[in-house]
Amino acid sequence: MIEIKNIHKSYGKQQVLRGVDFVVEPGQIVGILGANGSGKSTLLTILAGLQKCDAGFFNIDGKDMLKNTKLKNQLVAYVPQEMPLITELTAWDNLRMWYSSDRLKKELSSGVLKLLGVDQFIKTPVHQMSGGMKKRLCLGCAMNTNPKLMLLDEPTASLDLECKEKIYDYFERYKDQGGSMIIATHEVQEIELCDKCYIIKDGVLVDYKYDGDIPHLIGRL
Amino acid sequence: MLPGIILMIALVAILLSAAFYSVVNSEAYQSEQMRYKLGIVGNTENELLDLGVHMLETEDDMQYVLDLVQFDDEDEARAALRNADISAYIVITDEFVDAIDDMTNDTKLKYYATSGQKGISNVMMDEIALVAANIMVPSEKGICTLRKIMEEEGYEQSEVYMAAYEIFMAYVDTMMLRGEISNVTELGISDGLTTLEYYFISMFLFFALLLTMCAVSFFTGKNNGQYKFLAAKGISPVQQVLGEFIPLLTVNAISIGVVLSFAIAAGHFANIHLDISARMVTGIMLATIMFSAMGYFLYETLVGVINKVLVTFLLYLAGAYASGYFYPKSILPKLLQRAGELIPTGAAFSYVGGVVAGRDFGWPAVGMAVYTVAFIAISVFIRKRRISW
Repeated sequence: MIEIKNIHKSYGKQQVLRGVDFVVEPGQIVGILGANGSGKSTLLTILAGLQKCDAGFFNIDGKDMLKNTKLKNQLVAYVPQEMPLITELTAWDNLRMWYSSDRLKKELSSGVLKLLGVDQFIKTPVHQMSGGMKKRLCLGCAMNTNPKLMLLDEPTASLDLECKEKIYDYFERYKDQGGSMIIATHEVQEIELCDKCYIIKDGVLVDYKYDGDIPHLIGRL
Repeated sequence: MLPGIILMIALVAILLSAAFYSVVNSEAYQSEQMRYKLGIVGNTENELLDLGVHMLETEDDMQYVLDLVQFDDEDEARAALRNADISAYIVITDEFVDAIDDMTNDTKLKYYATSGQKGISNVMMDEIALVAANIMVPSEKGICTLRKIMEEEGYEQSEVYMAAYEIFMAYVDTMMLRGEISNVTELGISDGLTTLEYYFISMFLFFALLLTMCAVSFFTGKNNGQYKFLAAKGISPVQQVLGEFIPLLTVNAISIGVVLSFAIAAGHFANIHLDISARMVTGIMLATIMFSAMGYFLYETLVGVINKVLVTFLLYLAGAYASGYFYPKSILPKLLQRAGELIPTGAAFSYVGGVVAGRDFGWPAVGMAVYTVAFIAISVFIRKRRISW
């Protein structure tokens, strides 16, 4: 089980997060909604270990991820909104930064990279790829440690419907295998994919149940 | 971002304008342009020398272009020459004074000038020789007086003629034949470097600056997502910065090494008498480390490709100019000269120049090390900020 307790974060006098609490069960997708600048990305970067929080806990199976950095790097994968790829290199070369040659071949033939469909464009340079291919390659790079939790910052923003469907399909498979996800999003389709949703407003997390009423959602943000 | 770019351009423009204004309006610049300052070391109490100096100072047209500065010893004059307070100096030895008294022509003045002033110094010495020759004009009165006294004393005409002839020839031997009145010794543009050494080092350092600017774009400028992704995988900002800086430095060092090899080979074939020693190569390589760190720091700090190239190039150009890469910095005001030595480009030049000239290069080396560490440390700090945004 993944527990996030009482996370506080301030930038100077501005309090961005004021006691964020929630739990993510194995195989669960949790959506974090909120207006721009509400603190969604800040929460994800704290959980990814990119910045420190002022107070709070982040535990996976009872182990403190904020203190045990090595274990966190293994159990938690973070995919930022911008593509973390070297555009001059091919998909293979980008993946080789994170996988050994033997393991890469294995994952491409029957593992996570096969599921993501990366094997279909493995020799393509990144600058020739579509947005969807790049995003799947990013997910492939992030999955090298078989993480228990994925932190995704607007994973399908500016992708076309076909690309989104492929990525959602992978999310479902990952979930079925017991993986958990926390997704910061504005996309209605992603919200529908989530098992639980929270709205972050004034630094506090509030439960939200999406019922297809978009004007109501906008009013809550 | 736009206010930042405008601010940066305005800052560079203001700095360049202030430097230019201070140069052309400084008293030092204007006086340097007008008068040739000649140092004199040694005894000028000799009658003939005193007469010559007096004529140079007051009676000749040269008074408008020449300043004579008396020094107690040669070290003082040499220091003034290196600080560009004077253009050249003459050493008047006791032997020279004795030669004048004996009316012989076997001892010459010792004349020291910087490379940049060597040509004009030769012209000036010709002028001085001409003035010295003018001493002959009053000496004619002496010959006439001698002739008159001898005739009054009842000497034979032939004896009077011979005496006048002998004294005339003595004057001629002493003064007129001094066409090469001095031996000019080249001390170099400044700090004991020859012209060739000075410009080889300065141009090579400028090349190294530009090279680091070109190569750095291959290793930096990735998006923040990449830095965040690497950090989330456990690669710290320090590891990220060093992971980019070390390959950049390697590329720069190899490139500099290749070009230095060509320079050595070209110098050998063209018969250029420049000793590209191991010390010089080591100095340039160490300067390359600091330049690489500086280029990395600037590209890490600035935002936008055009902004990075433009600001970096302008800063390098201004730094190189202030540190005397293109022209001896003695034309700059004293304050700007000092600033030019303290900035990274100046520290590199002082260090490599010191290594080559055999001067003390401890402080420039410390300065370069401090700059290098500071550039890397600030780059790490900026990377940390980028990751946490």
